[in-house]
Amino acid sequence: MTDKPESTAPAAKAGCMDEKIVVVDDDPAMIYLIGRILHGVSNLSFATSGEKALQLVHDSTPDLILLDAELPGMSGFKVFDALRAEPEVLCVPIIFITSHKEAGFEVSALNMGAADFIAKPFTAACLLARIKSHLRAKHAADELRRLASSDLLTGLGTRCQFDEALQREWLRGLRVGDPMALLLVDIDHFKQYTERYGRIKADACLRRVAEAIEGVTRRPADVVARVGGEQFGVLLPQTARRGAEHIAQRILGAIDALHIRHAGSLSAKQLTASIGVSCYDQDSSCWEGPPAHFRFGEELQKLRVANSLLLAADKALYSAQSEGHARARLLDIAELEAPFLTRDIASSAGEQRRAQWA
Amino acid sequence: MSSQLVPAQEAPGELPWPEIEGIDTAEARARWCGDVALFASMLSRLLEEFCSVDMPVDSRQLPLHIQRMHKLRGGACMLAATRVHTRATDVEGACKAGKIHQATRLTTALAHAIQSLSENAQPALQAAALQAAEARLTPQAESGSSHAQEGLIELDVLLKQQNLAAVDRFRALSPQLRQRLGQTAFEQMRQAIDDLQFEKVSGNFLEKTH
Repeated sequence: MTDKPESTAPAAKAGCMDEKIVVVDDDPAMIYLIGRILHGVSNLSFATSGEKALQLVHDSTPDLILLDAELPGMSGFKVFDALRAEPEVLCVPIIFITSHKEAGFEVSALNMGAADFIAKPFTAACLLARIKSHLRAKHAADELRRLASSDLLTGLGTRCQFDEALQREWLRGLRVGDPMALLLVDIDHFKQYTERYGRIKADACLRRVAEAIEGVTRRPADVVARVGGEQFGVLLPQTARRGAEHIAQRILGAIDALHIRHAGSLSAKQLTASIGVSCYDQDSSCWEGPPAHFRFGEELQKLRVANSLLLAADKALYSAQSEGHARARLLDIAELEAPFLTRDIASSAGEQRRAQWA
Repeated sequence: MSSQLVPAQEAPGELPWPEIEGIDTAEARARWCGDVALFASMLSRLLEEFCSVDMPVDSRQLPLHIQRMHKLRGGACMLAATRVHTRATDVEGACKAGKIHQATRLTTALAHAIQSLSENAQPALQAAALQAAEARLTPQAESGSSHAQEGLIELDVLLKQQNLAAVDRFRALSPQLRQRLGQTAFEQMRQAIDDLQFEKVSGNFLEKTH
């Protein structure tokens, strides 16, 4: 292989090697040919069987999959179903490539959810144009999803994304017996702040607080979202109460360190926050640990319990606010019906000074 | 004319595009983006894989035979091997319809078409193989030891990712690999990579090259 032929020149011009395409075909010749056509356009990986394709896609989610309908062992349609069962692959376009000419084959492939159907023999230009078209559509859809799942002001996740993450992580935690903690962070007297300093400064303030919270939670699995006007949710998978307490303390410290003046605050001279913490760990009286068997029927029941974690954090937050704001309080999920058991974790530096002066 | 090398007007490779009886030249050149070496390599692979296409005696083997004919049909179609493509389509259709006698008769015709194509393609395939061998023997600039080691580690990553870029990376690193692995192990590695059986070599060669 030397120079690029004319037919692939446009591909090279529009090349973006960040795109990852997986070709699933048992014929090396077809893989080589597609590789030749997509040379300079995408990062091409391949699998020669359905099982290998599932492993490959599981290891790293591609932007597009080209799937041969006729594979040894697991048929292309079965591979398609198995791929679609992977949550990460749901939004990845899968294009069937086949030399099947039977009536209805194409319709079946499209009806079951394939993004497209390319019949052999194809021309390089046609294959390239179709792939580029699907990649453009995929990126547009990804962008829409990103916009829908992130708060435009702070760039954090939205309430919807937070709720989804809570349900997902709660079930995952139950399956493997991991603890989990949840924090609700609410900026104190934010209404007064907005009235005194105006909307623009209030927005800037929200952004800075969001950054401060995000700066404290650094693990990839942690989820930070803006769940209300001036309220943030922090989901801490695989975290027991001591870890959650530590994070709550650090968030209070980080907000203190912003030194945002708040003359209208009723609890300090600078901006503070109240935090409600809830947890489910080995010290919880309802702790079950990893179950020997997990049945799907039980999952629906346990999903409802995930909301209890949110409810407990909300009660702890209410308690922190009732106790004078600028502090973090914790309520175990098992004590949801006994909020008087909520206990102090920490208070902000501003609150400590105010207490000393009193 | 069984096989004739004709000057290619647009083909970018060093070899002119071959005219082979049984192959639609214009279609093949367009489909394979003018890449003679790749076309020849894939044609050679197809002819080797389907040098025998006998009908199975055991009817339980029929689904496998249908699958094989389907693969041959797809491959021949992409190579613009018109006669083989037509014959393979006929055999696949007859097998699917359960017309075993007809399928057997058509399989004989298919075997003849493959045999004929194989003979017609020999000069072109030999020329391409010779050029590929020459390219492999062309001395390339020797890079530093640490640089070469980095390249080998990168190659291993690409192999583990089943990334097709590993083929080009392997070619670029061939002199160093041949020197470090020895001729036999190097040829085994080359064969596995050419056959896209990356799992056979990933990881193993790094230990041997230390």
